Amino acid sequence: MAKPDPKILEWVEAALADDQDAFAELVYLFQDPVYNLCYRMLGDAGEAEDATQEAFLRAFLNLRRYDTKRSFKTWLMSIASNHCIDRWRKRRMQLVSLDDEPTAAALALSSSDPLPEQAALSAEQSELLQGLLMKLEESYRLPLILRYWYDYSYAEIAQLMETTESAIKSRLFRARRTLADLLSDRDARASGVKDDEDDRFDRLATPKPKGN
Amino acid sequence: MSEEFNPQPLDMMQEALDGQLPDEMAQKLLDVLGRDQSAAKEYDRLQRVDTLLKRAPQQRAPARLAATIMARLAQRMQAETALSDLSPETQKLMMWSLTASMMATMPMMEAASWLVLHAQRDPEVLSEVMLQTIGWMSLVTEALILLLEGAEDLARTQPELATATLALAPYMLGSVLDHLGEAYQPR
Repeated sequence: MAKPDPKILEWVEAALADDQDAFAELVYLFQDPVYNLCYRMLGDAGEAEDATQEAFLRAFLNLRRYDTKRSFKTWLMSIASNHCIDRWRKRRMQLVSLDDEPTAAALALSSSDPLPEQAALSAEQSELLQGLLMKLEESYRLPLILRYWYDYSYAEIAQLMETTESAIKSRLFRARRTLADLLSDRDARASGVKDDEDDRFDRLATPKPKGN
Repeated sequence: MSEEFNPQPLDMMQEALDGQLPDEMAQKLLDVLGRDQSAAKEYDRLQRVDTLLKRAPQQRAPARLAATIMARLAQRMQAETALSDLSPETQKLMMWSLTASMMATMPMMEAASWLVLHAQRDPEVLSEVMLQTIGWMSLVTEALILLLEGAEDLARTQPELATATLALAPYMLGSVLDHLGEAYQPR
């Protein structure tokens, strides 16, 4: 388990003594990972921004509860995750449709798209992936996000989500299989309509055979 | 949906994707994939997902975000200081008013529970009841939050008006009930 950085502990202690500048250092340091988590969980930039603000405010107000033996980042991420899950459930209660398909534009790749060997997804492909992520239940989406975007181990995710490693392993696997099914469904629906574009997407999304 | 096959390779696939499969097991997985087409197909599907996720970018926070957070924090701290400056009598009065406002929601909670319990036999009715209940509960919650925020602002300058604001809660709830009564007359 990652040990807290002494500098971070110093800022935490100063923030506990009402030093807002010290807390600002923590905000600058962790705003990107917290924002990314909120964006991946909520699927909307505006809502992610709002959720990030709220997560940091909650962290500040609960700073005394932070156990300095644990990683500050993990603690912060657990606050952000819980807040995002609450928001997501509230949004679902308000009956906002979550079934919006990724737009055709997201699938229509232009000739300037990156080739398979180029690493990052384009904005459109990223949007497509985000659309698929949003179809997962939050209890599956969160471990997937923590595993892929933060490289957290099963143990760290289990600690953050207050569950067991085997539960996390099983959720990760179900999440991947669900995404694979969603991709297959999308392919089946799109075949015959957007053959060329899908081929391009598949080439991008299909891993190259590994040499080893 | 994916085809069914021996679940054991699934565990190995999972560990392989997470880089946690020991070398000797990796060889075993390769053997399985070599002789079992459905397992190989499933592994391809999972690898495709894995690759997509690994290539997805980190979203960067908007440039102004940190400044906004710090401004909100400063505002919050200022508000808390101002509230803690209230006299003990005013604080007590605020608490009583707040409790009274919350109690005013009790009949609505009870009505909602009654409706849900009695609609359970018919899924269609239950669905409609849930939809309506959630709708007006959200409306009431939003309205109460507005009242509380207004009261909190007033508490710093005119505490007596703050408690009066909270006293509006039962009337607000009454209006919601009237509206519902008009909207849902028995057919």
